[in-house]
Amino acid sequence: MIGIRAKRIVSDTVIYIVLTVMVVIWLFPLVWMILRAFGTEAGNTSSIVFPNSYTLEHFKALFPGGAADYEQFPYLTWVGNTLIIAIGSCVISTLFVLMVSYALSRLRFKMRKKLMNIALILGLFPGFLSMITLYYTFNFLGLTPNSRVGLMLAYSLGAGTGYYIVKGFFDTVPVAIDEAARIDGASKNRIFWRIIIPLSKPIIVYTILTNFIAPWCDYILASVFMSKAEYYTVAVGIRQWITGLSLPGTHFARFCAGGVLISVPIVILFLVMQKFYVAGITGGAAKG
Amino acid sequence: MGNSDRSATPTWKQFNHPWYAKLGLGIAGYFKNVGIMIWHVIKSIPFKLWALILAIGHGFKGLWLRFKNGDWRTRLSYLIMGFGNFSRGPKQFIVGFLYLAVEALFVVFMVFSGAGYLVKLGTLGTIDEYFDYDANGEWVKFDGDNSLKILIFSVLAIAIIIFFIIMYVQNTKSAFNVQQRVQNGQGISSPKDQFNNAMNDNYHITVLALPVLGVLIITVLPLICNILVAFTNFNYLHSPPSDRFWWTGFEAFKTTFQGSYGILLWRTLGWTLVWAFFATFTNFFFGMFLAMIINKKSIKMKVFWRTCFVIVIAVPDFVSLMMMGQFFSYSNSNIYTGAFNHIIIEWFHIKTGVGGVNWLGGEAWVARIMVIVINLWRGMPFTMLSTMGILMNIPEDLYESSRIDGAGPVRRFISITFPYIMFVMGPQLITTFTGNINNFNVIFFLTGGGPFTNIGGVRYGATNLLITWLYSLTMQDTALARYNIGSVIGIFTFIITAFFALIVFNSSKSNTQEDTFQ
Repeated sequence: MIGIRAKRIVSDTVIYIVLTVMVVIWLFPLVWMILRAFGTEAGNTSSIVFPNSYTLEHFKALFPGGAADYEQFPYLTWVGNTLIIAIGSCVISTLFVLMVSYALSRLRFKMRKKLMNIALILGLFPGFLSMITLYYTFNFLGLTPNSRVGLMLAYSLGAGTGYYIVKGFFDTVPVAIDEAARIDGASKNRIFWRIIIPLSKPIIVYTILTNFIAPWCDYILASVFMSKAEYYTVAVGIRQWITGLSLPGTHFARFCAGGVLISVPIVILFLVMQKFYVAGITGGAAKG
Repeated sequence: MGNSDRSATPTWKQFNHPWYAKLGLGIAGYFKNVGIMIWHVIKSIPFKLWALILAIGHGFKGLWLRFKNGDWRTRLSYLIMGFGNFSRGPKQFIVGFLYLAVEALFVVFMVFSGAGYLVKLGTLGTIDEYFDYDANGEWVKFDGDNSLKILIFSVLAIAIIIFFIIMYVQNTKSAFNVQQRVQNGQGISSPKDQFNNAMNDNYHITVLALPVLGVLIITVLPLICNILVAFTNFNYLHSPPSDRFWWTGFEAFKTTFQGSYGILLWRTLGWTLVWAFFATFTNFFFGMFLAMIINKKSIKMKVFWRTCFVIVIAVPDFVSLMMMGQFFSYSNSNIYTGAFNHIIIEWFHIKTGVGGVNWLGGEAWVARIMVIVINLWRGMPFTMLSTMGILMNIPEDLYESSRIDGAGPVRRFISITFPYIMFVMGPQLITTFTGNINNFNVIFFLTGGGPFTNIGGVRYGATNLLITWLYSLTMQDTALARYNIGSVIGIFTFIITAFFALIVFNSSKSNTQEDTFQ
């Protein structure tokens, strides 16, 4: 028995070492970014890995009056833009997803299977294929370039096709509950709002969070839709600091500061919803 | 969950086939199934067409019968939509006037906008931008036809015409229905009845109307337009509003599949598949390995280890990937080179060239390996998370019974853990594979498709995926944009993705058995 125990101790020690090494490798770049955000060196072209001394200067530069070129790079305005777009698109997307999921999960009608197949096929087309015409269509409607409403609608109006996870959840709510309510004279509308929605709180929280986070993480659509600094979202805005011709040499630390500042709330939201993420992946697939 | 599911729960002996045999059988079966599926689709086309013709004939017959049997109010509805409704009293005012409004809006749209564009759809415009004296005698520029606007509005007009036809037929049905109810003395439905109907029997229309409309506007219409662009010569030489483009049939397809573009297309496709394969499987195996060692019973602080990795995926792509791009940046000077090169030179004293290695922009194979490695850093925690979820769900009695049968830890992994993970993650794995074919962010933020070389006068990016190539052809540099070739590549990508997605569609039973879970 001692042999087995010794073996276990050895294997556990090996595992702890492996885990520690992996955590160091995995977190090292992030730690590097955080330290650079606090470092005095502004650019990425200096002979250091970690800063020699620390300052809050680059965080101050994200706020009005914190840097001489704040007008050119109004970080706070970008956060505001993204927040407005994220809230608006989150409300519309969540409503659409819930409505579509309810219809496809609970209601039986002629086009149901067809709609689901069409959504499946649409999902296979690369999103960029339609981006150019989407831009011009919105342009003819006055919604591009530089319209927050336009970007918000572009993010949210098509949300209906992303119903899989929520529909999967609705499918697990017993139909017997609906039937009991229907016998009591409740309409389908009432069943949806008063029974299904309250029973599905976790998945609704998940839907709201994913839809809220999505605009914060998108770069491409925002970069195509917005051409003036005052309308940029955070992603488009801070990318300038490392893609501009001479800017990585002078603004890299500000990029790190801006990135850290925007990542903290998103990381917290993600940690909150990770259990829903797991449930969505494994739950959806396990039924297959 | 129904009983059928319980019987489908895998027992550990069920997975006794060696993995390579299963893989071989699976691949062979897949190609067989795809063949059968494609054959079924092709075979069903004549039947579908015939069914469509029948349906249209049936529709016309219905229209004629309702007209023949209708009274004068119903017949007038064929001209003035909604007349059969609103002429029968205030209860039907709302419905009737809605039909009338649809007709009025349709006529206004077609007269002032739609028809004008539809007429030009065949040519996509004939008038170039020109200069002339205006009414005040000043020399000014006059707009020519905007081909893109003609294309987009024509597609929109066709969609609106289809919608109008549906509403028109509905209008005749509604008028005839009201007429019959009056004749039978059943009484006409009031607005309250109609509202209740929308909240109950027709609730699917109520909830689906807006989301479907949204998908039509955002996804379907632009998609159709952009597919049509593949049949034009819309590029930087023919770019509205200053220039027109026109239909060129399959010219863009020929350009894309032949000559320099052809070489690039197959090379890019090759790399896209290699990338998708490695991006998917490195993540999968390392993620599974990580999840299993964290999940080992005797390991403490599980939440801590997990959270450390989850933080990496919680940071938005554009922050973490752009940061990685800078972390691995390179300059041909020991002072100005990036952080990672500093580390290998100063901390580990590894001999490299001056400034270290150009990780992302030098040799093609280095950049390719680097994007796969950085993708592992970025994506592995996702697999770890979902695998940990699955590991917790593996029934303990499977392990118990295997232990009684005398299976060791390796045997248990091969016979239980791995097959169980594959059972749940298998379809997921293929979805991830198709997702990686279209994984834009990693490539775009790290290398931008580079390092670049020139092949037959066309810029070739060694790490370009089809999707990033599509992006650089259409959106990166509008002065050299080739929208038509971009569209062809998009359609090509769709076919590739669909080919692999069919596997999921094929193997997922949830498509057919969903009702059993309720």
